[in-house]
Amino acid sequence: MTLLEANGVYKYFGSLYALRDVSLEVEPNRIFGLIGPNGSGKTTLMKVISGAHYPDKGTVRFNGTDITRLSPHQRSRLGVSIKFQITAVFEELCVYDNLLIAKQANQSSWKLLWSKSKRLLHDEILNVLEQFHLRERAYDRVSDLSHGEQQWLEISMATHDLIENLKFSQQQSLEMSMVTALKPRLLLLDEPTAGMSREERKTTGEILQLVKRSCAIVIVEHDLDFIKDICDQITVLNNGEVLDEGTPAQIESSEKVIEVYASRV
Amino acid sequence: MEFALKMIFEVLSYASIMVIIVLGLAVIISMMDIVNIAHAEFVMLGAYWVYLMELWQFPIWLAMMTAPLIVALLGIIVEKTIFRRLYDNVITGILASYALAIVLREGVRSLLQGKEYYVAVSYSGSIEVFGIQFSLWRMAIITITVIVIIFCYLLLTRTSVGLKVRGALDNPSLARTSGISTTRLYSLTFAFGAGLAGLAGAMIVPLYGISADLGARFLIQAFYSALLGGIGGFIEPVLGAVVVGSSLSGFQWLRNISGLDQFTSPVSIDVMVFLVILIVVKLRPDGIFTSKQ
Amino acid sequence: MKTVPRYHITPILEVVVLAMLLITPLLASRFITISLTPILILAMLAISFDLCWGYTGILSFGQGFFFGIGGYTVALLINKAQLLNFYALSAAAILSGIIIAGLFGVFLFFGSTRQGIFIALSTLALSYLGERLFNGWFWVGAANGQNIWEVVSVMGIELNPGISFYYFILFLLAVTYLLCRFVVKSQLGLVLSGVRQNEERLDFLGYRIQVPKFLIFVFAAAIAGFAGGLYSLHEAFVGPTYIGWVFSTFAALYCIFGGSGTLIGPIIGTLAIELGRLYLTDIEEIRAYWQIVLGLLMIGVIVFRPTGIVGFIISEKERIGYFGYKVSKWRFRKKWAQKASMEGPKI
Repeated sequence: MTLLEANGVYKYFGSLYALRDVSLEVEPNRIFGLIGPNGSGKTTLMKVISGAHYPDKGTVRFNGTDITRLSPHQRSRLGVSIKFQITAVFEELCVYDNLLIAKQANQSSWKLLWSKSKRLLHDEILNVLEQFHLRERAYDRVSDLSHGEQQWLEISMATHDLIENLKFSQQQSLEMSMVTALKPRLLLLDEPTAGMSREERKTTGEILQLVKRSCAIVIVEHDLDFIKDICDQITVLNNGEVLDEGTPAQIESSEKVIEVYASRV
Repeated sequence: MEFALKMIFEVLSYASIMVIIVLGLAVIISMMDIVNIAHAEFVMLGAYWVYLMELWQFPIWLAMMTAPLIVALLGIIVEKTIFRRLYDNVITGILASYALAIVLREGVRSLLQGKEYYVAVSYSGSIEVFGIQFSLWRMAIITITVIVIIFCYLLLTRTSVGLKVRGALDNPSLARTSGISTTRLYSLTFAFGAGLAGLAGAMIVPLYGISADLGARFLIQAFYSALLGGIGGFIEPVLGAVVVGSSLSGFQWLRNISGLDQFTSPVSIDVMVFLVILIVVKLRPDGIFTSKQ
Repeated sequence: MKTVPRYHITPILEVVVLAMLLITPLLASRFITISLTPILILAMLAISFDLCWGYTGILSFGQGFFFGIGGYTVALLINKAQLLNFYALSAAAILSGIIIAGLFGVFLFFGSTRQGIFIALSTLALSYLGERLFNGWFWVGAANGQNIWEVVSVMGIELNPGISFYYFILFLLAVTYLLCRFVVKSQLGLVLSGVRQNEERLDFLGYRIQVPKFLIFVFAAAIAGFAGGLYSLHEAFVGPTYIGWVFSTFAALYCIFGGSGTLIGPIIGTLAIELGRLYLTDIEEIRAYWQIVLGLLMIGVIVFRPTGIVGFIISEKERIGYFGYKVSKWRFRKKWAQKASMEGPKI
């Protein structure tokens, strides 16, 4: 059962086409990579999925629902987690407060006024921060964080309600897919490792492996090593069209892909 | 019948004033996302300049011609010193423009020593058409407004500058990346908007006189005209100004002739018109003349 | 940083200001005390602006409007209905703010997008039209406003300008301050901070952002209305200018000059500017240009020093603050000791 399905997507800008007959399927609990040379349409495709652009032809379905013409807002309510190109956390607040603001979202203003949930959420928040390698930075301002740490915070805010004590969980993958069925979530990441050190990239990979256990992830990336390491499935775009798709091993040995990447130095 | 004509004429002249004021305001908002509360004070400064010129015994026609230029110059200075630093923060910009309005208003109040003055214009008087007296000056206002509109329209559609402006209006980020010098363009736009305000002030001074609060009475109307018509184009705010200007002036006229002046004050008419405008703007936040994309 | 940071500067500042305000009437002349009282009331007005702008990012030019309406409510109740009960008058003033802000707020906050500009302009219109309306309205006294000849008493204190009135106002200011501090430091305050920084993001997190915005707007209007009522009691007068732009401007100026987003900043700002006016406008030249000076000051602060006076004393981090759970030092030590004794030595 696919979580995200794009079918025959076309996107034109005037007489130029950015996407031409692009289709893909993303399954839950998988990390899906989207690569291609500059200008191949990766970002446009992401925008079509997130709702920043509407396609001229084709459909996008999420968890069975047709979301092609829904606004980003409506999509996020269904579970498509919008990741903007600029990190969109609350820069002036500290890391802890960012997560707190995410976790307390479902409460009424009255409850919030009396700060009833502060104590209850405290351990949860610290736990999540621990999972995302941010415990040491809990009380630092986001603006003081490195780019990598900001990314982890972003991801944690998008998935905090799915990560419940996963470190200690011995749950089977079947149970996990039940979680996914109840709370379908698609995480869209646009070049998450840009500007990260090697150490940070490694940590990001670990975090994504953790996160994928309860949602689906689509990553657009330039760093081919990173994609190779963590993705379960990759689609390669070139000139707005799908060049090839398959597992990292398949893509690595695909002649079409090698040709395209070799020809562009 | 002749009464109706006279009323239409006066409503039209008031609407023309609104058009000039709103055009300047809307251009700045559309292009630069700057909501300049001090725009009303720019209008007042145009009027003040004419008053000064008259005091220094320069001919009125010279005063009228130079008023837009002087205010445009002030606009450039203000843009460079204040607004340039606040481009990314619209709301703070509003606050700063509010403070600027105070400085200008109170500055002129000191210079005028809190008084109002009337400026005599040698072109006053009226002509008779079909037995009705029409004020010459109001005719001039309507005529000038039409000329300005046509001029702006041609500028926007026929010149390269106009093309750049329309490009920047449609897609600001694209315009920036394609190398159009936005700094220069912004300064010129702001100057243009301010100049229009100065022109409006110069035109209305024979009708309203000069006082420090001259601009303030147009402020709210001007902003709501822009919001009502729709920001982001050329003709939409102009139409908005026509609607608001005509409504305010027209309903005041109706109040006078319908006998309602027993129950209502001029203010309450204004308030009611504004309430309606407020509701319409709320229901159609992009403006009633904008077509949704 | 692994442990919760503790901020000390603000409490020190609060204590210093409070101490100064407590002691001054005992040392200074009666004139100073009588001049200081309305300044404290205006400080409440400044705080009401800060709640909207400094904490939530809502630019409201309407705080003066609610201030004036509160004043008129009190004056009219005294003059037309002979109501002299302070508690009833206060409740009425507060209610006037709540009701009008509630109605207007529903209109402002629920519905369309691009709210910031719409709110700023609409509150500006509210003040402007409100003043003009009251100026021409016979029943409320038109341009002459309302004079109050009766003296209201509360708990045995006569509310006439003087030292008792001063301390009463100081008490009310302190209560208002603490109430506001409670609100802005709560989890709701965290939401307000989020609204100010990144409204869109909050929306995506699942918040109905109109609700906290609406609530703080109404709350601020209630405070402004209350302050307006007190002001009219002290000045024994209220006029159409109280509703218009003048007081809305002062609210913004005091708050920004003192330092928005801090609550203590608006108080300091009001004191600084109004005491400045008291002393400096003895000089003829300055008095003539005072308004211009204030306008220039406002521009200067906005463009060059947005954090205001208090920005020199309180760091940005402290201003933003921390909203999460804080284990108090005592409980922490006790818990740690308990844990250690239960777990035994680590292997």
